[in-house]
Amino acid sequence: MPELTDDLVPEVADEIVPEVIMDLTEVLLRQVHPIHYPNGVLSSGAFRPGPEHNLMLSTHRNRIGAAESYRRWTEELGYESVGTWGVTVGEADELDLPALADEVLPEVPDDHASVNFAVCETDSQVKRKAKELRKHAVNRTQIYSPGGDAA
Amino acid sequence: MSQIHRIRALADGWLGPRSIAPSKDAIDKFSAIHREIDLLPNAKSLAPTGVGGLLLEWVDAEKEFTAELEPHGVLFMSIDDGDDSDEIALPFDADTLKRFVVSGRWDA
Repeated sequence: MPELTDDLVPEVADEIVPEVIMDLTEVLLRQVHPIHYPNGVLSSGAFRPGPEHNLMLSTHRNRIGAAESYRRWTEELGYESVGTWGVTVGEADELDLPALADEVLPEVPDDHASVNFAVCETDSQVKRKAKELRKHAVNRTQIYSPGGDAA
Repeated sequence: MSQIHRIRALADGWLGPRSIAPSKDAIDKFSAIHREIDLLPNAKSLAPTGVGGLLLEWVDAEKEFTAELEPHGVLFMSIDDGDDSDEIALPFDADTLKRFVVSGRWDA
């Protein structure tokens, strides 16, 4: 049996682990691509995690505001958005989807949070839970519209 | 410009660095039933998924219907009435998709 030396011990102490957001009332801000809002109907596709994010649904923390969330997504990152919708940490939690304050991770933007779909065991669960998040977002109505007609 | 045309205009990367635009073949499969889709109730959406799929959702008689063509040719269909959800995943078949959109049933 090899002797346990420092180079065989995983560097767990240096690993950065994002905290679970505990404020269940916080509204996380989600940008929606125009193609996910055809004729004013919000597709649940807008609430599925993107393929680049390892089953993490990308959102902004509420503290930056819905208009600033839109601005960062469109002006700083150059993506399209028809506006900002929101789901609370509690609504995600009811679906057993923890919300993570993952801005502490390398290469993650400031004020970023993720709804963690990696806990889902099947693709079907991902789809169903995205639909539930969509319902909450629709009930809340659009929070920010660049045209200025959102709630 | 119709939603089908908007989807055709997408390029890979449309939703982030690794997102994929739906293939022409996938779009054609939904385009072939555009008349049936037009007849669905107004609370409907046809949209791409970030992995190259196409997702059609509609609400009728307080039930939520989903027909999704996944990137590898699987047709996923579900019916959700709020209390229960019924779903099935089958190899794509044009008749099955059309039947589901027209009647809300995947059985022949």
